[in-house]
Amino acid sequence: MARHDQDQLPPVSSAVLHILVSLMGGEKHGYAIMSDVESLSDGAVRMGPGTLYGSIKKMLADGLIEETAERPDPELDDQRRRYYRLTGLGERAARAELARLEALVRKAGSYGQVRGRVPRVQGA
Amino acid sequence: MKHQSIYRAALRLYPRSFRHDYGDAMQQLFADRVRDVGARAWLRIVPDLARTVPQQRIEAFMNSSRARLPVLIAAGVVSIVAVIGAGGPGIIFVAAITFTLLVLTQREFLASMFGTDRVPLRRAVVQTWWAPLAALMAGTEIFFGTVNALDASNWGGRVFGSTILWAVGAAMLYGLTRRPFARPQANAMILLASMPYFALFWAIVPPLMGVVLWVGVLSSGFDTEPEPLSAALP
Repeated sequence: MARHDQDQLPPVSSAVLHILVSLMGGEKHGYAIMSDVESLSDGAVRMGPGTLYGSIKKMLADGLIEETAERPDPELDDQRRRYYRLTGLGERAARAELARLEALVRKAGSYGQVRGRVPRVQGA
Repeated sequence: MKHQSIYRAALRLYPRSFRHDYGDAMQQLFADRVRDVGARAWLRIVPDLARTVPQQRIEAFMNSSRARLPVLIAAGVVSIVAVIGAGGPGIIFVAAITFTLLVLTQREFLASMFGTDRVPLRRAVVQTWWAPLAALMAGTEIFFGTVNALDASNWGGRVFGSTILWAVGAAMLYGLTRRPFARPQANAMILLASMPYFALFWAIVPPLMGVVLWVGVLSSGFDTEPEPLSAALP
């Protein structure tokens, strides 16, 4: 059972956000999510099976995703594969977190314009 | 296949419940990864194992009722030692906050203390050799709570002291009635309710009763399986 009410968005970590965004493209199994996350982040986020399924466990408990019994092609698919899809709450949580990040990026950009330069990393 | 056998063996490092839920899917994921990148799959798997095995182990430990009870008991003991050892009103405040915070971390466990399944009090107080002692201690707490309500020198003392004593007395009796159905939770409630006896450490007899009760409760085990009702009868 989901731990959160429908109107209450649970906190979203970086790994969870990447999985949510990956599932916005449709239901996927574990390896497809893992590959998609790597591609979405240009290789910056690389998950192993433990990280992925640890996050999935929490997301299922929070009601952000659900397992689906449907398989795209049962004949060709391994029975051990498990497919997941976003719930309504998961989609709202993803959109809310993306909007927050977008606002942050916008503000960071405005700081750069005010000072006439993009903030530089110390030591660069 | 060699890679997969090694990974299957490595999965045994995870807690059983996690392995049961996700072991097959993780093996399938690993097989897909080996198919795509060969032995280089281990470059990602090894750090992943090193990071997530302890994580899942700690999580499983903190979620088990067997772990929660010792943490709760430790919280009580630490608080009492702090009060007795350091003394003074300030340390009582600190111990109370410490104890409250630790109890809050166990809130799910404590929430399961309450349920609809209970045995009648007359059976509960004779369910095991130490149960009559627990009932006597609970009765004494309620008695002194009432005496305090009538005799305390100020209203604060009356309300605070009597509420505590009535609450712990009632909690101990409630724990006894719940114990045949939820042993770890009820045991925790009984142990916590016995704390005031240790606070009277200078009086010898009350802490001695507390020690006997603790020995009884701790030696009775913490199996979560309900006892048959016949076991609650003499």
